Amino acid sequence: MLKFSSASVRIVNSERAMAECLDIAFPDGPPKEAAVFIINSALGHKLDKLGAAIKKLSPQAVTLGCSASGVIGREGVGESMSDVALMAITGPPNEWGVAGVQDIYGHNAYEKGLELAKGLKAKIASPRAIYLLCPGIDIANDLVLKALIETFGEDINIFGGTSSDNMRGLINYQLYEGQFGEHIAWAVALGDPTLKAVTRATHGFTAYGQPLTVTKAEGHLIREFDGRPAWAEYASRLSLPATSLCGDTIPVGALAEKLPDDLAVEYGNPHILRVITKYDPDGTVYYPVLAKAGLEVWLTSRDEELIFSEQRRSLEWICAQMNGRKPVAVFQTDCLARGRFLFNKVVKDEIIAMMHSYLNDENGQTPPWLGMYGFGEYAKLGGRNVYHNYSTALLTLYRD
Amino acid sequence: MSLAEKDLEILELKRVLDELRKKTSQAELTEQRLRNAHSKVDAQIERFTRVHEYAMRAFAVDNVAEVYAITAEGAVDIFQMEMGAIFLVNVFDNQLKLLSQGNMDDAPETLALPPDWLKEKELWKFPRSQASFESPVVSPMWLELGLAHAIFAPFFDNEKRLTSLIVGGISQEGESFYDFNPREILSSFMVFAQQMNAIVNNMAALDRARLNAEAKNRFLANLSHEIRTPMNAIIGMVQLARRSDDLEEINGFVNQIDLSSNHLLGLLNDVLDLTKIEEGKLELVEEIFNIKDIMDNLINSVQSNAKAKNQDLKVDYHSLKNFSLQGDALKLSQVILNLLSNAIKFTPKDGQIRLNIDELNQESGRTFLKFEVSDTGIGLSEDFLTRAFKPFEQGDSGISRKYGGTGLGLAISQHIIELMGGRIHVENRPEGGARFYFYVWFNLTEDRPGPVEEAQPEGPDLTGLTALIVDDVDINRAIAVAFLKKVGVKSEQATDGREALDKFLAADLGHYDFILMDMQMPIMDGISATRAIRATGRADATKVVILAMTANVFKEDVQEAMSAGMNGYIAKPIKNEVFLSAIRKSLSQAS
Repeated sequence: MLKFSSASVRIVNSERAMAECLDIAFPDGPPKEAAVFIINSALGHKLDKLGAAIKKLSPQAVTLGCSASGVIGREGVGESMSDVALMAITGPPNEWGVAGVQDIYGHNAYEKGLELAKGLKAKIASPRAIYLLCPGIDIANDLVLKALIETFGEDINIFGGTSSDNMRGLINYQLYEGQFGEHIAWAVALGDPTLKAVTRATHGFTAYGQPLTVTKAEGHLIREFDGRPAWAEYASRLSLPATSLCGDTIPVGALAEKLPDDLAVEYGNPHILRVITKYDPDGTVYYPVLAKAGLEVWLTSRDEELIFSEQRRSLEWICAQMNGRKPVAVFQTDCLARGRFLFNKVVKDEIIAMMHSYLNDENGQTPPWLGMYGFGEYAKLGGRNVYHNYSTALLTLYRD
Repeated sequence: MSLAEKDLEILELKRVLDELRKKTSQAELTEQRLRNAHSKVDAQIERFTRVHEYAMRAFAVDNVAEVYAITAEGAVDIFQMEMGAIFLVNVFDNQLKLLSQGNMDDAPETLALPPDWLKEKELWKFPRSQASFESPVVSPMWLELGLAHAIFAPFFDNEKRLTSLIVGGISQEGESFYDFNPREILSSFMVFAQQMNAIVNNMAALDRARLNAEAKNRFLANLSHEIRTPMNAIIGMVQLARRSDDLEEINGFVNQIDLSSNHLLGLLNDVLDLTKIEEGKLELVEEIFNIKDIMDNLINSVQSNAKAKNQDLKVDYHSLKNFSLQGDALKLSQVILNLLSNAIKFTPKDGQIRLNIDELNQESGRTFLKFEVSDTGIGLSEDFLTRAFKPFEQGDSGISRKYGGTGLGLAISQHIIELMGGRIHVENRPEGGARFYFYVWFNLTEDRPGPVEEAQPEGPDLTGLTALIVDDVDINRAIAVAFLKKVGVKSEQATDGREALDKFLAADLGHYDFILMDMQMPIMDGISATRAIRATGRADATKVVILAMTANVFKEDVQEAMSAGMNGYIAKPIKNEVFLSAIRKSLSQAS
């Protein structure tokens, strides 16, 4: 049976930050048994240093990590450059497995996704859930999901997200067992048969105006919107100059794709959102999923009331699925824009407190919790594993 | 409606729609700007909250090193810098020494400060100093740290002297991810620096008090040991001398007793000096002096010792533009003499010893001088380098046996230099030997030193004079009587001030040519007795020479003696030549 332990701290010194995390997560000392540590960290820490610090304290541990704009834990939200959060999964080695691939990009996302899926399947044939982490820049997330679904079947619960920087859209890092880079994807398969998983994502944006129509695209690259270089047109629709950076557009530039009606009802919104984290000098934008000519996307407006009401609806749905049981662990991936870039501290703390209040145990204790503010999120929608942006996605693991 | 009109209407609707879309996106942008402004307010509140948290953390630790570590971490964490550090500032050597760092693992231990950097920044001028920033960085030491943007603030000690610099910064590689908005953080950065500075100063004061208490105990233990060693020799030699019938052998023992006694006396003098310093009783006596003359005299006074070891001893003061200075020349000489004596002592035969004096700066009628005594001697062990200026510390236990010395000279020198507002340093020279150096400001003056006092004649012949020796300790009276008898002085004795007064009143006018008066005595002390004698109204009451013969040689003791009407003083233990010379001088002045 797998056990989950989490901690989050804001400490400048990386070694001390990890030591402190381990102290919090394991008051009786670092685990001696097989363990996988997932580290979410702001850019003030070097992931490889954090990983090395864990190895020093728990040499048998497998260390995985990603950069993020901020982290979320039982302790709340941390969005400074020194914040770091950790989830440790301990238990029999036959109940969990990890796999990773290097050099994954948008153009080879499917092939690399398959390689990742096969590596994972070799470790755990029938996992209850998969935590997936992909790079947040230049990746076709739907293709990675496709590869995993083809390997594990549609019923598999895939959760996780994409790494990020602090919304500059310049860089993002991943750590996979000592390998450190910008184009690594890794996944953890949870094979504990007693575990059950529920995932759900929600946003609170409304589309407005006339859509931007993709008129030229290759794979996940959109060359043109409405016959114009994609970036220039997109920026212009946002009333921003074409010289703007992704950091300028991300908070105000969520793009909405129309959902089928049945999914719209479940989602509480007729649109699913997309983010642009990179563009080329010729105006080509890097879409986070495949895009075809004819695809229509809308600009969106943030609706704070909707954000709250949909978050509440999402939590009620999750609790209903758990049918009175309380989670043994919660993984959260949140859009970085939903951190300090969309909400002031009070509002954001309120949202996190709301989540905790729904998912805390009978004694008011928050379960082990690992969250991050990244570029994108994975969670099920309409029974299918889907990539989301600008959402709060939750994976709750519980037992009967 | 015609088709053309419909087209027009559609066009108009599209225009309105477009306008609305633009307005919506502009509203989104405006809302985002508002959120950014909120975020700045949040950040400012957060910074001050964190400053408070870090101050509380610093309060909870019990040593300065940890406070520095917390400070360096705070510079990074609170102000969202990529890296931070705190450096000790050596204003004399224009050097920064790393005390602690945050995210700056590769920071060098020392950084060179450009000459005049501190002056230009006016960082050292308390309380005018404020946090400053460079964006982009231009100062070489920040560039050496790899910073592209830097914010920094000074720390001062309780005497308002610049002690350290706290710096936070962002590297070239990091500037894409870190926001550097110095104007937003300047005030909170300064508040942080001031808070941590205050904690460091409080803690340093506590540390000092604790260390002083420990040092006092160590000092007493060492002092006891240092006194017992020569005492053991004296007692042992006396016992041996008593058992011996061989005059030559007895002479040898007496010589040994003399050496040990002189060592003991030197030790007591040094301890007294140190006590004076620690009690704050040591004061600088400002006078106009010629530094060239003083240094030449010093070199001359130790030249014979250097020559005995065939050592090359030279002084170099050629960089000095002015020789006429104002300051405490006597104490400066004491320090230089101590350093030169050590250098001669610890440098083998044929070695070199140099005294270099350089002017480093001159401003507002003051000159900033560097004194350096270097040698080609045995140098100092790494361990001893850290404790060279502590009382009773010597290189190892064999040093004092081989070279002698009390182990207090450097401690006294350090105190004197600090009293002069300077700092003394020691280090080994790469080519061998050691160098001691210190920096002191002196006032420049146009005036010349007063004429050197003409050598006093020996004074009157004492033969046939009558003295009254007043002391409650028999041996003290006996020694004085014996010394005086040798030069033909008749002595009478009194064991306290009252008896002395009675004897004076009972004697014929002018019977006593001089009175040697102990200060601390039962029944009536020396001060009261002197006042009483001077107040008798006898014709010789104000004329008789009264000399204090005392172990109390602090400035205020001497002043008290003089104001009670004494003519001078002789410090105990008395040495024959000094004793007679003081008597002759006082008699000569009185006549």
